[in-house]
Amino acid sequence: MLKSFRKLRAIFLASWQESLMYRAESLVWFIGEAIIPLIMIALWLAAYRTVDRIGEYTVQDMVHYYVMFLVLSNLLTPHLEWNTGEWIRSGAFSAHLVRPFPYQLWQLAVEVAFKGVRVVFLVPMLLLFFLLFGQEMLGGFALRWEIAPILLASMVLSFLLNYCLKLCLGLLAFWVGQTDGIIESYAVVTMFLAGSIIPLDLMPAAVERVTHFLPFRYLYFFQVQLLQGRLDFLSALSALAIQVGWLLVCYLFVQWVFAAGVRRYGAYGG
Amino acid sequence: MTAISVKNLSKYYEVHQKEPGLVGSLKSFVLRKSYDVKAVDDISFTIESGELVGFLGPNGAGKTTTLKVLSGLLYPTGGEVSVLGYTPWQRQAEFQRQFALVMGQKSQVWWDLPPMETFLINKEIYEVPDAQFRDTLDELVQILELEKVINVQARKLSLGERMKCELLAALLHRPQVLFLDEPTIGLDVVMQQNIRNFVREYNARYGATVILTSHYMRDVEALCDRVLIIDHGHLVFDGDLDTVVRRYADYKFMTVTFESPVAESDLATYGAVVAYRPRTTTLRIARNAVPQVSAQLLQDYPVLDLNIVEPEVDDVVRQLFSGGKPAYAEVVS
Repeated sequence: MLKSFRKLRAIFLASWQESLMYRAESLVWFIGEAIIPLIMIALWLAAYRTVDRIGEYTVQDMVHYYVMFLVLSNLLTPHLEWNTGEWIRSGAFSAHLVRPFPYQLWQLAVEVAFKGVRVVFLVPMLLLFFLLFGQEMLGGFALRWEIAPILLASMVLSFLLNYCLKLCLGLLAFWVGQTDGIIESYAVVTMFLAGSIIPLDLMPAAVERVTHFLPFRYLYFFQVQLLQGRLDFLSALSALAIQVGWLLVCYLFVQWVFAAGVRRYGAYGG
Repeated sequence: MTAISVKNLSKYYEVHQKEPGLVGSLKSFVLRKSYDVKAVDDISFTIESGELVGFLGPNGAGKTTTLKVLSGLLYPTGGEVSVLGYTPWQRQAEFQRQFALVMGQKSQVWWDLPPMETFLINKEIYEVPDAQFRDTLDELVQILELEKVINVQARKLSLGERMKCELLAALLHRPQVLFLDEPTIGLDVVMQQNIRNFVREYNARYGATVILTSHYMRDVEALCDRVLIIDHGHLVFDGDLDTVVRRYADYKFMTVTFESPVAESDLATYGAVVAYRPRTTTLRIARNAVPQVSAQLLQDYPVLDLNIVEPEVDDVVRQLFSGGKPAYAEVVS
């Protein structure tokens, strides 16, 4: 147990240092990620000029939704699919396979460490949003104290769930030569199905129903619902249970994919 | 004590066949023909601990594939393999802590950080005790002359320095078996020599079993007492390198460029003509006759350029495999 901790810590510390080298890039990515929410907020502000309420959302709820979505997706999204695919393709993955430490855990430590740099930019960005939309934003908060632990748990689970999904995506490189297209498509599709573009409960009923059979609504949307006090304690708890279920399914699936992929691995690149 | 035992190892890859052109693409979309490429075909050998063995052979011969099976990266199609008593492709942590794989041109050392950081990670991953880590590190840093380098960002180091750091990182846990896959590829001559010396010293000092794949004759010559020549997936030769060199590579190629054309028949007196052009000709000369022949040629003709080249491993191996005269025709300067 202690040995595993030391190993993870070593990887974490080195990743942390490496992430500091990517400060500038992180800022650029962050700005890029903020563009869509800003556009959506502008759109909705225009829409709310003539109405007070759209579905279950007031204008404050709506602005709050996108800002929280940005914060959560920034904090809880790992990006290992690119490197994983690249390493499998080039054969550099061999170094990971030969090491007496599972790749899945290795990358997890790396991803957590890289979030550190992101957090640094979160604060000034939040301040900026607060200056722009101050009043509206605060109005959206309705987190009850008994929901807080559920929120924290769901955030941790979301990161792990996302990690499994992204890892799976990267592991497709075992079978498919060029995964870039698949990764991009996944990003676009999940943007909709996770609620990044439009709140899930404002989507057409059929689409909204579909999201209940997919893990994506539990990545960020669930957490925003909690922040906005839209779920009572029991509903929140049962949703959390579903999230745990999804994590279990995805975890088992990714382990299976990994084993199958390694069997197939031609260890290219000579 | 036997460190590595390989019995009837085979590794076949399924490769899809496609006719060239658009029609071929459409056809293969509907009905894909596939055939097996026998990367490794029924190879058997044993290696005792402490041996320094070279896998030699042309590109695509199957030597890297064999190495990958031994290190657990590939599952064989058939046969039994045992390394240090383990079945490699089960990839047990216990097993992996006892060997190291160094691949030329594939970096394990973290690019943006000083190599020291990679060493510290390896220390934990391979569960190296503090005292042993410090001793091994000091020793290796000294031998490899990396004092000034280990705390500089890896991306700022030269290829040679990075390669030395790769070796250091791989050896911190004092592996009993060291797999080196084309370790000197892309390095300059001096660095190649350094790496070779280091590996030899490491083997002598720690008694580690070293397996090296290379298509540089010089790597194998400098390091390996025993050579396994693999060609087209078959084990063609297993034994002393001296035997290979003496028997199959006792010649050199000499390419001469003359000021004015020289007849082929005239040149035949100096050595076997391999490739003839009126002004530039390649001759095959017995190794020990090279000094005399070159002196004679320089004396008899106005020579613009004289180039003496070792036989390629490909050539030597092809010779072994075909059992007859090698195909010299490809060797034209």
